[in-house]
Amino acid sequence: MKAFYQPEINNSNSSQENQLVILFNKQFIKKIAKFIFTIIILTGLILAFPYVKSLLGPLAISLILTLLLNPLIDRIEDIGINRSAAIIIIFLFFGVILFLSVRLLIPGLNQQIQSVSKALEKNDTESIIDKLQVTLTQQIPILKNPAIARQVSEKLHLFFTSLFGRILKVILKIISSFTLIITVPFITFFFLKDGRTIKKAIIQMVPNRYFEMSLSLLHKTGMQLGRYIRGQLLVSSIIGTLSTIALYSLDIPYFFIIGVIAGLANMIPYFGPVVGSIPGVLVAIIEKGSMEAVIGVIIAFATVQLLDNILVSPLIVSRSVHIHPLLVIIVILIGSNVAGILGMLVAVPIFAVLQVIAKEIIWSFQNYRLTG
Amino acid sequence: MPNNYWNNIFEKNGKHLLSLDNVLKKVPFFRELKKGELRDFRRIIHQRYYKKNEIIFYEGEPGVGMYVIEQGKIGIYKNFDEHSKEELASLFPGEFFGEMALLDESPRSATAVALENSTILGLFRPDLFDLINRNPRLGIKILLRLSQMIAERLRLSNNENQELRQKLDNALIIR
Repeated sequence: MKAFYQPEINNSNSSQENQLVILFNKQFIKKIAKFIFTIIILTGLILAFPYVKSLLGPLAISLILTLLLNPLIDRIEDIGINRSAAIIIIFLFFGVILFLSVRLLIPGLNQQIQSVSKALEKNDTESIIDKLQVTLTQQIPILKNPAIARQVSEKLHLFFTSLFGRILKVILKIISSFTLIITVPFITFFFLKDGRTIKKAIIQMVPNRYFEMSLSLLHKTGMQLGRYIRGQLLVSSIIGTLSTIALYSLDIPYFFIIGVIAGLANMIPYFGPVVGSIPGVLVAIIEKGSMEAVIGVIIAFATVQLLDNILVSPLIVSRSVHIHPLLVIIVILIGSNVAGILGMLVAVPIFAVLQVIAKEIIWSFQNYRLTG
Repeated sequence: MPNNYWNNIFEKNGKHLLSLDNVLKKVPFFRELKKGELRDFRRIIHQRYYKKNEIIFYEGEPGVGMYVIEQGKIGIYKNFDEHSKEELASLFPGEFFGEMALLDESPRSATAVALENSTILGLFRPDLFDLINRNPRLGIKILLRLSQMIAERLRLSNNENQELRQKLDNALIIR
């Protein structure tokens, strides 16, 4: 935005007079104004963050859904159907699929989850605790002391109160997930319908010097992220389905849950397939107790991985992220520190997304003259 | 903050959209578009305001699209810097520049500078490709017009090239 005919600084001599000229130079005042403006905006954003924090989750989910569904909507629009109608058609279609899968799969899934917990109870957790208590009082006679017993009971009381707090938190989470169920489709609908207008309005705000760069950056990252997320989900569902079929044919219990875990774990490069096969192998050991069953499960997972590497992944090229194995471990550990198991699962995809954005930003900074 | 920054954000009223249609109709590139097509097309057009002496793009930067001048005057320069420049052309309302960038991301062949306070309309490759996906009929129409225009310019530059070659040959014969 600099005027190219206008000299920036009067460089004839370096007297005090010149310094005053510089001080009141239009450019200098503009720079100060820009700095103050940026500070105000940043402070505003920081102050507003606690209030908008809860919106980030639904926004992120809606953005992912938009990236997933956009090509489908474009395809329907291409045959001459109005965009809003195309979105409603897609929403209805996926709504019906979701409804049917909930009706058909959830009872089965519920049954499997219940039998998993029953299997855990087979080793009777309560009797283990009882045994532990008896052993403790036998080993540490001081626990028989009434004062200490009172203290223990207080601690127990505290534990149950915190447990109550936790339950309350879970209830709140469920309520917020209900708002998620309502807000996500709503936001997604408008992202799909007015995405271009929103993008145009954002671009419109960018100063002239950064305009072309931002336009290209927004387009390239959007395209790559869309391809990556679509590829990831497609491969995961294929792997999940293949694993479920393989485990079902081997007559392994909880085949559905193990299949889903294998599909989800497959999103993690290098380690995902190994991690995904662990539950299957464990169930084969505990439930079947035979070496044949364990070998069968290992062969089944290996075959699924082979199919993935030979057929599925090469067809869905965009899925590949080139992250060094060491970096994968670091990213997964950070993910687990931030958000536990869910964090471990989404850490690598989130890192891949950030990597794509960072690469594009670096490329843009290298190729555009932004300081002119 | 320069005024054009706020203009870029807020100048979007109905009156302006009407003038946008009028400008588009004057440009040979868009003249053949029907009313509905023009409305579709207008959605992907970016209207930008540049103050006098402001750079639109630099030579060597990755090209992302073309511009049509709505108001003002644009200068196209080779080897442009603060001290020297080689003028290639001065363009006026209705004229356009940067059209090669609609086809690929090859570097800009020259620098474009606003010589007056100017309003220009940008048509960019990502938006054009998106339009081709959604409305292939309109997309092909625009692409065809673009190729005709580039072919026309190529023909002109071939003729100029031939004339120059002829002049050079004549000069060599005279020597």
